[in-house]
Amino acid sequence: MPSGFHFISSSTRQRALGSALLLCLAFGFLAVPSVLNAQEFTELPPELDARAADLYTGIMCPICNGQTISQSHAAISETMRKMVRERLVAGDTNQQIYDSMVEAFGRDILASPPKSGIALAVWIVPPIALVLGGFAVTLFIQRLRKTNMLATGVTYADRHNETDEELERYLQLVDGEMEESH
Amino acid sequence: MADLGTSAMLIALALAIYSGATSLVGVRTRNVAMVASSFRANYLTPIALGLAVLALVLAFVRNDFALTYVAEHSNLAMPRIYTWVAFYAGNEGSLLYVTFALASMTAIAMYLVPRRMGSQRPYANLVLMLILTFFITVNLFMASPFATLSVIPSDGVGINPLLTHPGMFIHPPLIMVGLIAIAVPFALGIGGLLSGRIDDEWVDAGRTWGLVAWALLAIGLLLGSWWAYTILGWGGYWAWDPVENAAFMPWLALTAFIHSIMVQKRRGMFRLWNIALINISFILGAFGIFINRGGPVPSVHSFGASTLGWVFLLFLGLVAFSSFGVFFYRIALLRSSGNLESALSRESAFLVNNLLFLGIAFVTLWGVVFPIISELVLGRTITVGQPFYNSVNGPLFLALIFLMAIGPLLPWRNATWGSVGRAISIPGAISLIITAIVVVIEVRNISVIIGVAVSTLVAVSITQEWIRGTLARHRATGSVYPLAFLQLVASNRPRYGGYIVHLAVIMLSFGIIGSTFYNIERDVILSIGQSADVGDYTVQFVATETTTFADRTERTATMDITKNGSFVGTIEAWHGIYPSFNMLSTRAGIRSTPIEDLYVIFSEVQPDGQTAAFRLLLNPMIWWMWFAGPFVILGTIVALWPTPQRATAVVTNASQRGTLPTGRVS
Repeated sequence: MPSGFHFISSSTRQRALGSALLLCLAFGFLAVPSVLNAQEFTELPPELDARAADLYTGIMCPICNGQTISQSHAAISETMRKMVRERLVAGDTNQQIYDSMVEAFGRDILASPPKSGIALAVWIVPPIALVLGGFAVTLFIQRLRKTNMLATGVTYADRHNETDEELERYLQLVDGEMEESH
Repeated sequence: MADLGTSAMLIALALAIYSGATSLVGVRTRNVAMVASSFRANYLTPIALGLAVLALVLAFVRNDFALTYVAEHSNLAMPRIYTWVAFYAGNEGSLLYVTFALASMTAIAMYLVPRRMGSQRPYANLVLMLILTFFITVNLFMASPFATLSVIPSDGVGINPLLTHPGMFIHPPLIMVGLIAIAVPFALGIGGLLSGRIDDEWVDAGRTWGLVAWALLAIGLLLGSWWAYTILGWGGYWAWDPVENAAFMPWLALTAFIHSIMVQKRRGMFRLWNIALINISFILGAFGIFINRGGPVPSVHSFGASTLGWVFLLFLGLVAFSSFGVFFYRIALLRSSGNLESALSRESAFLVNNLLFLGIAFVTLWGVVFPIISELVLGRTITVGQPFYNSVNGPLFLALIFLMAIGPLLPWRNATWGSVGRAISIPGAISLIITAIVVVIEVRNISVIIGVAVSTLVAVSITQEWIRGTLARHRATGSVYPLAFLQLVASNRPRYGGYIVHLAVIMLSFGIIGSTFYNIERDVILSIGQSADVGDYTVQFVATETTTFADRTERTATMDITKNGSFVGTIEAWHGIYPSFNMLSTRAGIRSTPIEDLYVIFSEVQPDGQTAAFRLLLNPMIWWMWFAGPFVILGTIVALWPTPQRATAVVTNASQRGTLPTGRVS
């Protein structure tokens, strides 16, 4: 175990998990955090704050209904944030920190699905769908331009005398002025 | 109370079934009197359901703990004002609320729908009554708020403390009403298909109710963000939580709809597409209700465990299947009357707009359902969290904002690159200058640079449109400038109302960019007297105070704030511990300015009472997100304000002739 892991003795972790889990099950929400110990608190040098904030939003609280450890007040999240801070101070890279968190809490705590294996589908499907959608829209525009040439062109607005004549008049005015000014 | 409530709901059920049945039979047999009777029954349903609502409110006010629902969601200590929130704090009450809202909107919509829509009216009424019958049935027989306890407890459990926030008074009811309001334009569209005469007559009513649902959801989402920001105590406002997404997706589809419906109104095109869009919107709305009330995915919003999942899944399936069933059955009727003269035109811009909005909705849906799929197929949940949504939807939003700058400048039918170039030249130049300045002051993030460029482009091009229009009107009519501006807005309300909303979107965009890319976050432990720096600010922990109430212990921390060495004020960060709920509720101390918010979370006090843990955040420009809200409302009101109908000839009141009005008014 890397240094800094020592404080999560298995009993502490189980207790934290157990109590927070109970609360989350009961109310699905915030749990009262355990009492922090000032001696164990790792304060970050300011230059590492941004990376810490970034890492917090990448890690899910394992027991809190879809919240990241950045959002959750559960004891376990306090613990996990502390772990992240300690690894940052120790000089680890983001990847190393994610790896160590996965090792300790399992793969599901990653907020961002991995870009490998079956989870790759999460990332690949949206661009494919968008390209197909763009293709469909292009085809649709082409078809609209070619066909329907015999269509009447009578619209709801025409029938209900709603083609804002006043608007059209003044738009012409605007266009006229545009021409003048150019 | 229980008997009164249950009877009222039974009466409402009977009325809804009667109204639906007589609508169908009446329109089939061309029996005008029967259709009229069906509408009268419709108008009575909100009254019956209103009685049930009243019964539940009275039960809360009188602390009638014989009702399970009242005992579970209130107690003697609860201030009366929270009855409003307790009412919808659980599944049973929120369903009654939704049902009542649906019945009320149905009655208003059906009353206002113009008679010239002929047989579309009873068919639309039929669709709405089917939906209403479903909700009343579920609410009455599967999740009744009027179920009673055999042993009456002396006190109730109490209200969830997280709900006791001003945001909670408006956010959940708006979202719930917004989701169910989509039923109205949906029913108008499907009613048209069923009647077999789907032309453009439903466009006005469909657009109006589409906009109503859209605005309800928009404001509900904004208020939800504000609530999350001020009370959840993590400094953020949007987490791509499944329930947020569930309200966001129908909003996206509706946004596409309210744009695209204008093409049908002006140009008689996209008839097929608009029906498909409103179907998709309502299906996503039903999906939202399923996620929200059925609880298939873990979410921050899982306030009450639900056993109704399969019921709402069934509803979702029925809506999806039947709406597209009718759609394909009648597809031959949905030919467009207009044609596209140029690929570069406002019509095409609207198509691209629709593609992007539906694209974002699809990405979001994919993110919500993938964990469910992976759980079903692999037996293992793959988490899809914020980073996925931000990195996939972010660029799509930027593309949308760019389109927002170009689209409104394109004329209908066809445009030339030259005219677009002229219209965009000034905004383009100003946007380039501002972007250059931003780059010079050390912004290196490409997303931010693009975001600033497109957002300023939109803001300047809208301003240019307003100035040009006002000047032209001033010269044409001689009105003074402010009057000329108002006349301009009045001359085309959908367009200029839309511009106001677009400006609000730009404010949101600046708020999101600033707070996403430039927020500073620090976790610190401070003893009284100690201070910590965040950005230009120094935050000093001055004092803490503990107050004990019957149901909670509140603590406040007083912090002195100095900026660049000079004192700027004091803020109080608050938290409350609720032993009966074993919950911690925080209310951040926020010093809000248009430039940046200083945000202090008071999380925990040491046993000695002198040392506490704080999280300090600096959120640039987030103020603009909340400032945008009123503009969304204003823009919607302007866009919805009825245009005086000129020379519309309502020739006959056909019902007096003994036939249903079927033909269009000539």
